Amino acid sequence: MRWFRRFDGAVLIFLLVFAAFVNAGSMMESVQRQEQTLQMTLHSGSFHLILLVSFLFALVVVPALLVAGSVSLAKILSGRHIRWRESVSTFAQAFVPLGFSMWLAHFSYHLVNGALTAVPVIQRAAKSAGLSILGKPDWSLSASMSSFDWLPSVQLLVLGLGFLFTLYVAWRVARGVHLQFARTVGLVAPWAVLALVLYSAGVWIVFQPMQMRGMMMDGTTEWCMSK
Amino acid sequence: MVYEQMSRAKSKGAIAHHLVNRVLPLIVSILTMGISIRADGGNVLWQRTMGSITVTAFTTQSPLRPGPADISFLVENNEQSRPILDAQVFVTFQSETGVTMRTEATHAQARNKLLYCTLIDLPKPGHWKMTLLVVHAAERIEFVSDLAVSEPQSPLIANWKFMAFPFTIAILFIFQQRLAWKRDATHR
Repeated sequence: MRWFRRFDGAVLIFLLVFAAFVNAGSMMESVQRQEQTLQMTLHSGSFHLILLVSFLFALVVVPALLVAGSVSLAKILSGRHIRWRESVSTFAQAFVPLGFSMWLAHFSYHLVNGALTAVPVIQRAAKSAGLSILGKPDWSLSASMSSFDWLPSVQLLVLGLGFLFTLYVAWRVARGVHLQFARTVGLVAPWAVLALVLYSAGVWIVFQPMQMRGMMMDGTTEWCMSK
Repeated sequence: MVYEQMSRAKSKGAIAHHLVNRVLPLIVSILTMGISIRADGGNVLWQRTMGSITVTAFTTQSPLRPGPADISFLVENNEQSRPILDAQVFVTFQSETGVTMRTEATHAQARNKLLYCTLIDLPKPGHWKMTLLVVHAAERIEFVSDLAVSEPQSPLIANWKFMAFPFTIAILFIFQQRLAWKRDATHR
């Protein structure tokens, strides 16, 4: 558990937590459209450069500003002088559940929607191994998208639980500082607001149209079937 | 050393106690929050009588919205006041723009076997005309009614329970902590 209190560990935790949201957000259609618009506006030939700059901004600049803001506000509201490195190292562990829940919610979406892709992949692997018992790979299964009305509810439940556990861990950490009730609330409030911002971003992402990676669309099915 | 081990074991026991007494009931209550109970068939859409037959239409959703809809019909012989179970029930849905969908309502799709049920995927909102054709013995009776399909519900409203639960629990937790804090202060 001591690892969680190390500063480098804390930086890695925040990186992975924000990466969960940035990764899911970057697969949204609206974000991809914005990136293309930006590329055209800047007359930049390389889309990779746009991606690199956007990811640096979203994974380094924005998190650094938000975490720094939380540290400063926590110091003001709690009235206790805590060194910023210590504050970051202590509260980073609270964000593990939220980050994990976002990764889980996002990947479960792709796993459920692209679950049938496994069938032609297994068929193809069997065929390559010389087993014809499973038949010819049916690549159309890879492009079929079933409607899972229950999925957003499950994703929201997972995100909500992550958010709740984050608040709980943050509260436990703040209680360990041994302050008065109001000051403990002041110490935890900025981190709770940061968790709320991330949770809200997660809820927004859940309801956005998502790029279907791992599924064969836009003619890929036809290409595979011709092989 | 022994004291340290004892206090560690004690704190582990306290965590387990806390998990069983507080966290577990909380998770169970969250998981059961979404369960709702409905009567057979759902809400009454309309009831019409024509000749010797009375038909009552039910829907599990109110108002109807685009997407899968469960519509059931109770066909009764109003002279003998009993349900008719050997009829054939055909339903036609027609939108204002002329989109037409035909289906048969059957007992097989109904949970309550006194009803004839059809599961239809309503593609868009607006005013639809529902024509019900009941074929029983030599009789063919047609019931025509209007069906209003509302705009799709915002996903935020549809899932408000899932979004409200963390805040509800967090607020209750803060109140509980405040009380516990006060109690501790008076004991000291």
